[in-house]
Amino acid sequence: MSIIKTMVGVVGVVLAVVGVSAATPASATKPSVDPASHWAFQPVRDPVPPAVADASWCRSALDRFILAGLERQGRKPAPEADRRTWIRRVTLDLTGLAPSQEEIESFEQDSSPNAAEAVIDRLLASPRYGERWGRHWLDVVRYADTAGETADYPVPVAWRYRNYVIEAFNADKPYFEFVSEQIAGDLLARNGPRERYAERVAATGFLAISRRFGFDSENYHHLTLQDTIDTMGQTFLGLTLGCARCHNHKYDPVPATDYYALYGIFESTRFAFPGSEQKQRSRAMVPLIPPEESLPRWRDYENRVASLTRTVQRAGLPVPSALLRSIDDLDGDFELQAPASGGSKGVLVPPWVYDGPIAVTTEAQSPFKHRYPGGRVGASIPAGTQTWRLGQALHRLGRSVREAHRLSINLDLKTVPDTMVGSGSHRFWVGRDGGQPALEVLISAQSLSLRTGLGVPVTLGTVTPGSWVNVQLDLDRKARTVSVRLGTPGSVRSVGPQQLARDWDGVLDFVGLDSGAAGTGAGTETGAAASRPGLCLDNLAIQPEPLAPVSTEVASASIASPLERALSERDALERELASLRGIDGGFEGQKAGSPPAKPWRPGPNSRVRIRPESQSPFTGWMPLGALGIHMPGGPAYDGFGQSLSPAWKRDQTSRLHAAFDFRCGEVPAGGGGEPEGTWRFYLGHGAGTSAAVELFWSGSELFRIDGDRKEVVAPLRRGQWYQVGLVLDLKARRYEATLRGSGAGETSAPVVFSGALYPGWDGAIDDVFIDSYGHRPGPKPALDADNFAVQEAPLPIGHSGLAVAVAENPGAGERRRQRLTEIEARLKTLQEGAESAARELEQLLVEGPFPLAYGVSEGTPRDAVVQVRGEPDQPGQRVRRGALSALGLNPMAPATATSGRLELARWLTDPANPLPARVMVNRIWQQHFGRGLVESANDFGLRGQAPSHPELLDHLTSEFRRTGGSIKALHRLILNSAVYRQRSEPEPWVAEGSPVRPVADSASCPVDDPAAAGAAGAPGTSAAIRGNSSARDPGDGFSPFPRRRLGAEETRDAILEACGDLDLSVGAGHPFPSPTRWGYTQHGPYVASYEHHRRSVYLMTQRIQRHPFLALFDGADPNASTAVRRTTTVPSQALFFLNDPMVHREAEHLARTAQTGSQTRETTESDQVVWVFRRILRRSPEPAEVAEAAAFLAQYRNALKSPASSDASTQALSAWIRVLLGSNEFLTVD
Amino acid sequence: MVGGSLMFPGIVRDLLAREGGLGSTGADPLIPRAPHFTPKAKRVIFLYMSGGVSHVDSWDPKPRLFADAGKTVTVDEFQGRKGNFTMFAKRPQWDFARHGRCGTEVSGLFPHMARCVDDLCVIRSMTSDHTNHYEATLGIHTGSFTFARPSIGSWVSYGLGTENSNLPSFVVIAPKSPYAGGQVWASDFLPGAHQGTWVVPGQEPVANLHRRSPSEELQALEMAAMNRMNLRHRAARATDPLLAARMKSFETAFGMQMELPELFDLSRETDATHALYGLERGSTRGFAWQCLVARRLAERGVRFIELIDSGSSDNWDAHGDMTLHGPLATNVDRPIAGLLNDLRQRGMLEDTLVVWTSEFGRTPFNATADHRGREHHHWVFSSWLAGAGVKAGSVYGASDDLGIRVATDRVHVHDFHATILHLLGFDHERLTHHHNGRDYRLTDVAGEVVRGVLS
Repeated sequence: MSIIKTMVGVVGVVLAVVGVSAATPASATKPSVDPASHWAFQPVRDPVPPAVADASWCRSALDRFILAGLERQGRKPAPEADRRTWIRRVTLDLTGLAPSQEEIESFEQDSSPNAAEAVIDRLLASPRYGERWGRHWLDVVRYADTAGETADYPVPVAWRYRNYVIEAFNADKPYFEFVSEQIAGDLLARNGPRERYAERVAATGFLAISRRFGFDSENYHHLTLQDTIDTMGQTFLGLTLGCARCHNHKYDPVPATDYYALYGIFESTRFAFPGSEQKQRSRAMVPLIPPEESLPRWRDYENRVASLTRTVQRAGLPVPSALLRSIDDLDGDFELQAPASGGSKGVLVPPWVYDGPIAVTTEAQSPFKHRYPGGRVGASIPAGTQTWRLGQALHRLGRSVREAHRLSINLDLKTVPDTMVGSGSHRFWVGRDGGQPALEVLISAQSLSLRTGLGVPVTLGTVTPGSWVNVQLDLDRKARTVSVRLGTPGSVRSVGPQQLARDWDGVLDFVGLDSGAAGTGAGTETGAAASRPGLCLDNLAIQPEPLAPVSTEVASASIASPLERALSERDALERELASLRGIDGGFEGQKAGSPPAKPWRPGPNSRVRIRPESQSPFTGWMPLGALGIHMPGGPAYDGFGQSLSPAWKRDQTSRLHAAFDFRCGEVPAGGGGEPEGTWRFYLGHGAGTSAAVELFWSGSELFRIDGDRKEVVAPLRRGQWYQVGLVLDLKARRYEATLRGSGAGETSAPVVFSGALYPGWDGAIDDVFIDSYGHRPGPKPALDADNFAVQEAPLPIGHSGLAVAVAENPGAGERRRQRLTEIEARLKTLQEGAESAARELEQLLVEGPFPLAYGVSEGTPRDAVVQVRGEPDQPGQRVRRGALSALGLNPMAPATATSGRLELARWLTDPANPLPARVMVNRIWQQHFGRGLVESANDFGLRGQAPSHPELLDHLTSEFRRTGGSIKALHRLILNSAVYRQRSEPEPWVAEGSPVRPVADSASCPVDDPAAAGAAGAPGTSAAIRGNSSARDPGDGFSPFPRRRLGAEETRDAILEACGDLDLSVGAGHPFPSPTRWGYTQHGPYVASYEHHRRSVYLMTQRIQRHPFLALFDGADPNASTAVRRTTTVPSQALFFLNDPMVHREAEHLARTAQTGSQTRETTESDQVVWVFRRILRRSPEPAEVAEAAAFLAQYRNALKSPASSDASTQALSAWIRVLLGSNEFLTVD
Repeated sequence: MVGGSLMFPGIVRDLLAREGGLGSTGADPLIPRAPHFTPKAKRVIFLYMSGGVSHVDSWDPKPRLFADAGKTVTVDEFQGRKGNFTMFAKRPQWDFARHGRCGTEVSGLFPHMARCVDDLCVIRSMTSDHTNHYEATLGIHTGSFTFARPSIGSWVSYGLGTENSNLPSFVVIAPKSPYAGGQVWASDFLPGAHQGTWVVPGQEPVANLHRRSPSEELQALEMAAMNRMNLRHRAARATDPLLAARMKSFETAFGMQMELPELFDLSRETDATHALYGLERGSTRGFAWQCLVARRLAERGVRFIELIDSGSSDNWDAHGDMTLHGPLATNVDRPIAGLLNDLRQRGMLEDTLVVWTSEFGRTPFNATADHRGREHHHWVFSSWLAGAGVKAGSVYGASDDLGIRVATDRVHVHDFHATILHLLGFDHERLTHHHNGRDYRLTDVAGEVVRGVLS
């Protein structure tokens, strides 16, 4: 016992010891109760309701149990609540929303004997009921819309489970079915009615929403399973099983072997993978339609995705990276096991079972593309591996196989040459898990052979080490034969049909690859390990439909779409367009009078213009157009140019051809005698960074510069067009040029000149321009230019460069323009088609071929190994899959070929198991009365609290079972009781408006009873902190009825509803960013909050970052099962009501409705007051309250700047509304 | 403020005392409580550097690492992978020198803190369980590296309650959300009143703190009207203390709108104090503001004040380049030295425990010889304690020659927590909370008080 010591410096405060449990280790000692006699493990009895003195008070049998308790204490129940109180209580209780004023009044006036029952029936039939009671279940199962690993990946389809829960409550799904579906809905769906398939699969979201851990969450799957088992135990059994992960449970009869028996069940289950920092795409989402429907649709989907991908790729658009794969896609599943770049461990995860040094690597990717064209990785096993195995159970194919008796299997493999290679071999087999193979393919370094049964293997053919070979098996299950094709494209050898193993029993539920004959019982010798070759494996497929022949080309199963075909002509169109445009960027397509458009960049002064007068007369290589470019003369710097991409490099390109036409005009007047300025043609790397060649000219001469030396090439005549052709020899770093002039009808002899490229040129060419930077400053002449070209193909310059008069070639320019327009339109159509394809692809990748659920499916059934001290790398004994063994319950039926979830579901719902029904009945009671008959609703174990009314609990449990687990029937039982009708004040002595009576006089103040409270003395579990039913403890005997404050969701819904802003439509998914763009990490985790006006149960709930509103008002913790919400009273909640924008917004919304809304037809301010009063508090105000409101409004308005304005009235009324919204009356339920 | 709690024990307590609603214990989760024995420290200022500060570049001098830089070293695990890895020793970026009377060696990374070594007990043998930020951050805050558990600040609040009924007991000042988000200061299964109140430096450090009604007078009018409504409502429900508590919470909230801004208003702090912290007048940026506000919170009796310097990115996680430690150190160095000096000058260092830590250190080696950054390293790293009950001017524990493993006096995160609780007067094995069928504690099933750091 610690010393209780007064702390120095704290005065006038009563000091307490730190909690009872903190100071007294008594709670740490083992209870002396024998588990065999622990109340919760005893069968459910159906006790006779006790005799009571005041039988007339009782409305139902349950009342007698409560009343008997009160009478034992010498107490009377609280008097009956008035009708308004009762209907408000029951309506909020069942729907989470307040009754309307009309509903209240109608009930108040309804004197029929079954008025209350009718109200209850009406409420239970409301869709709002499931939204309220489903939320409690979602608390218990720690529902969240994100995965909870370090980056908190969003789970876009998690909502299907949330809605399943809501719908299950609305439909009054029998509880035992509800339990079973959440454990084994996928298995029940298989054999159940088609119309219930989807909901049952969605139900397994209960398991899938288990919390994920780490940045590579598959490496922490053991922790996820711990969370699954922990939550399952608390939810259905009211037992804390988590302790048994590391050691036998200290208090409850749960040995570690039981824990790992359950663990085996969930380890044999395949959990949908939500994505994580390391693997950012989701996988194994579960189809909401059965396999016989989903498999063909997956194939159609894959074809469509492949076609769209090709289209999008061909169009040069980015291909979205999200991947959705069929659960049966063995290779695709494999693909997603690959470590991301920089990831920690390239491990295989369930449903694969594996041993040995298997690596998932890009080196093991097969070159064959007839089955899985998009692969990036395969699996490899190093040479000399002693033992290894890799296998997976086949589930969903089972039915198809039975129906269509043929099955095709594909495997690509490559043996790896090694100096040690000898006669050892590997094995590939299909057949019965742990039993007899139907066939085995033995893989040695240089040959493959087929063995069926005990016979001598048949050689299939040779393989070349280091070369990939494709193996295709066709199984005919009726004829019990297999045909084999072995080979490479163009060289395939067929063997068979061969009889399948005679002693194989026909079950085909496993595909295995391994080092030997384990489990075959056939005495196979596959050779010494040291001589086993290295092996690469890829493209494993097992499917009911035939396979395409081996090929390195993508299978042409899907016919190219018209768009895809059209896109293949796009390159030709673009080439034609380019040649029509030249690099003058299609001046012809541009607008006269404007600066040149892209790809041209105008110079800094932007005086460059496209105009018809600047059309060159040359037609040597480009048809005559109608537009050229013009730059006015003058002293200011100007120019225009173009970046050429990609760059030509000296080491890749030998020759480059360039051309341009120009004509100089006059130098503008006012030069003041300065020498004439010059223009420059530049071709080189960057916009002036590294010139390869430059030419300069004024109106009178063309020249070049070598260092400081100017060399005139030719004289020029002002007003005459010239064409310059250049041929650059990049390797030799030289150029040759031709200058040809075109006067009016006059033929100029071409001037040919050559020279070296600049010695400082860096070897790349990606820019061309003409500017007025020159050797000579001064006002430059006006310039026209046209017909630019830079290309690898030779230009016909110098051969037919004669000017051709426009008249001689009529219509050529027009035809060119027409063709340009045609091509541009066609390309635009193609581009739009491609973009639409990209959108469709994105949508398909995001949504999949049909609705998917975040659920579970069957994995590879295996018994688990005990993890010593909970460490996965410290294996202990292997334990049979099963349920709890030591509660005195029937053992779970053993599962063999399945995970065992169906058997677990049966065990949970077995009438001999008293826990699930008791636990659920207690939860329902707790939600009605604020406290369970067992206070520790998630812990019925030896350390939990004993029931305050054990007989009542069993009575209700018996009734619950009698109705087949009808929760609505249980509600009726409870709500029609006299207990539920009590007032929430103990005695009827206080009349409305009476002065407050000193509490000290109250006789009803409860006294803590440590014996009854059990461990409740610990801080945090005492009644007071638990919250709004604070005046309660087990000694109160559920009398009077507990007052409560609205919960987080109710508070938000109430504000929205009262202000006329609640959207009652059913919520679905959330506006998450598209999964194709996910890249969340622990450094940049997913964080978001999406606002809407639907009910709060539809708010997006994040695991790691809590929703600000829900956190503030004590919403459930989405990290762990919340059995009971604690309600706190903190000033930050008051700050919300005072200052939060939402409250102000909603209040103003209602104020405006009251003042202007036609629905209200309220004209005077006092009418408005009455209207908002009824809207919010669902009652008419007392005259005094109306007067008070009027005074408030007047006072408020007067304190505002312009009291007479309509805005002042709105502000004042809004403030009054906020007063009502923040009031205790609005937020508490009597 | 997200998920923060501003529970003012005075409200409930006053009401309970006046109206006799409930028994004394349990009703008020923040009622001041005595710990198990006489404490040295009454409060904690927990300085958390997010991302992993390199120990061999700061508090743990390794001459061999300077001498053997570039030489190979073999380790059996690297970035979570097991195996034999040949690594290259990397030279520290900053040189070390002896400081103070005690002569503790500190690198040039923290020149201001180096001058405070006579106040510090530097622990050079810290060790954590996880190589990943998220888990290690959760670990240093909650003692759990996987599942969410109550934060150390919540445990202290749970154990001690608060001295000041007008402020929360546990305040976290952080500009950004850290790794593992709000779980770092969550109370988890402890009552919500013990969760940390997240103060975000800036215009509105606490959500809804600014009055939205047009004037104070009008808001008072609203409050009065609500009070009248509530009094009428309560007339027939006099036995329910939580109705009254809620009424009182509005009064307190109203007051808080005045008081909290005053707390965050540093204008009355002298120029000398501003200079001490290196804080520009009027600025709310950087660690200097956080440190000065921390002192003001400590003065006002807040039990656990945590300062987080950065968030889950742009932090000490210098994989690419160690020189990025430079600006981060500049942000915290002078303010922390200023805080220590300020506390000492005001006599507060005697009953305030100051803790400086990161979630782990950084590898003294790299996979390539020329790599400029360092990776995560949880095998050994450095932290320090100062103030109440701490052996000032000392060094505890040591890493091996290259700073790779603990050489002597291993201090696991659980030991670190046990020691902090000990200084606050708690037996860490007895500060428990019953939840889900068992008693939980901060130190799980481990932890020993590190006697060698105690004065």
